[in-house]
Amino acid sequence: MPAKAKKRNQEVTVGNRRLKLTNLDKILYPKTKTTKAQVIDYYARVADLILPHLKGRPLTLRRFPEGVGNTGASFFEKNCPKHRPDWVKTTPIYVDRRAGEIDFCLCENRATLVWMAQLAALELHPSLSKATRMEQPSFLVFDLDPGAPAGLRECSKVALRVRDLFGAFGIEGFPKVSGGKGMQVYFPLNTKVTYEQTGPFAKAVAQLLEQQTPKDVVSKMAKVDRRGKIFVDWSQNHQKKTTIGVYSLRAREKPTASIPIHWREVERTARGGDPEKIRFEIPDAIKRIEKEGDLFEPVLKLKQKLPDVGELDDADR
Amino acid sequence: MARAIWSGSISFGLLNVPVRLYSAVSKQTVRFRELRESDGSRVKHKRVAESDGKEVPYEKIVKGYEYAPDQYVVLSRDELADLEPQRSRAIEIQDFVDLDDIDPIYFEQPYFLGPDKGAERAYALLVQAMKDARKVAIARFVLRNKEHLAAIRPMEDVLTLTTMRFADEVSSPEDVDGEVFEEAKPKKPEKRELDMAKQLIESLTSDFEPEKYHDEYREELLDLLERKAEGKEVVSAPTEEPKPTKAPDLMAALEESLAAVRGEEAETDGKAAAKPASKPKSTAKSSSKSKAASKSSSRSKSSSSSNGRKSGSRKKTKAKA
Repeated sequence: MPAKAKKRNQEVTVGNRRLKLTNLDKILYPKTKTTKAQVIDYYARVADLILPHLKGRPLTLRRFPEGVGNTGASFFEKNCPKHRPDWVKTTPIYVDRRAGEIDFCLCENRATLVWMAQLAALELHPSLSKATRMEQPSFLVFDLDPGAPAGLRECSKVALRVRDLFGAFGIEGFPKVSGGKGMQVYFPLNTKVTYEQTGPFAKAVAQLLEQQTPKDVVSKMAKVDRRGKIFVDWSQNHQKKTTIGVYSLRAREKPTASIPIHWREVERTARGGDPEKIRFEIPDAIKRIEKEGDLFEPVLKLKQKLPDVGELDDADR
Repeated sequence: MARAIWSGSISFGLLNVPVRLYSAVSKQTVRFRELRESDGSRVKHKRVAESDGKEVPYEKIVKGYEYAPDQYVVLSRDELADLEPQRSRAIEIQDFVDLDDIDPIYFEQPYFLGPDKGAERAYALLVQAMKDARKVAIARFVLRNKEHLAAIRPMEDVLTLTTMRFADEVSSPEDVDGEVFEEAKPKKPEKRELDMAKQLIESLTSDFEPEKYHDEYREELLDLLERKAEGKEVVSAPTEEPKPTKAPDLMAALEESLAAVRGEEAETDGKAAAKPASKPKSTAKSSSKSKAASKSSSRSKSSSSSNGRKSGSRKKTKAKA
């Protein structure tokens, strides 16, 4: 029997909070032999950038205690773990009749972020809303999901069309790679709006794109043939849904991250540029972030309004 | 309304009551579909020959009984059909017994027996007679090519039929493992211990309320499925859309608005309407005046582009704080 690596534990202080880190040598990404220590290190390094995007938002954790090779052991956790340190903040959110009210974690500081990484919460899925105003999404989001053999290139083309469509109404959007196969485009709102408005609007946009080019775009999640097409997933504009958080790692084969990109990079990829240039694994992701700063800062601050296309008020009657 | 799964008649002596059989349970198990892990494609099962891996169509399959290793007696469909029990339309009542005499170990699957058309009176009569006699009828009948033993008894105003195991199908404790139960044979327990156990039973004694008990595994499973679905771990399966809306109309309206804005842009900027706004200005209209204008433009198809939003009414907003 091969000798098992000794469990390496360590006590650390993060911003005056004491925290015990366990199993640091545990390999969470077998393909790249990325350990829990490296995951914790990643989140600690990107903390300044990621925290503003998590602040105040109920957080769903996707935990992989046995690593990404064992998705069977993975789980989504909305309920903030009971054994949390007393300084981890939570917020009660009514979910539904079955689950009732759930205490979601709030990630307000670096120590909490490190604690979550320690729980092998590789993926952080923040709500589109702040806990204080759950009915109000801060932004509208499109998740562009390519069906093979379509990839980031085809995805980029659709992203540009989404950008231009909103651009016609004078609304600015911000792209990021999902860290998986596709990308997401965020349209910051930061104004009074509800999911009853963003949901149908996003759906209409997706349907319009599909109608214009049915060969390239699908707008339905149903089991239609998605091969070679981009699924424009508008349905995440819903209070109960979440989208992978910006700068979050992904539980894919390799430790990729969801990283904001420039529109010029989307244009270059659409023109046939190397899609590998907009895929970021841990070491590259850190370098990239250090160089670019927070390209997603406007998502938090830019105030924009959805255009009134006349039917919105009638749509949710 | 559930469909009858069988029809025939209850017969005993001179009485003959045409009835239909309905399932009395709705299976609440969670059904899974098999998918390929990589892309969520549905998995199909094919029957293939072990020897060469070639697919075998249904018509070409016969049934073989392995009487010795790798030695089969083959029966064709026709041969099997000839052997099928013949008395396939009658539920023949053999005896009437007391319910308490039947150990629950014999019970299998419950069904309801309903009257067939025109047999309502005879059916009601039978129900009443059995209720008055407080007896359970033991009957034989054939369902799906298999001879069954069944217990028929009234429950309120309907008859239930519960299929039963034949005596030789039920194992005795000795068949399991003699020693397991041998050890537990009564040995004269201490009175104090026995009293305590009895007291405990007493304290937990209540009326049987089936509603009280739930399949907690299933509930947890459904809960997990719900959470995973919400967390968007759905593999290309349809999910609930938030609220039914008049989205197609909205799409048309959006398209129209878009045409209006683009037309207007072309006018003011002197550029082609199709030119994509590569660097959209961070502007968002907000005045109520433009709202009214846009409404009218999107409502009436004939409105020209110049009738759309006036760029003057757009307000610049701070792009980046």
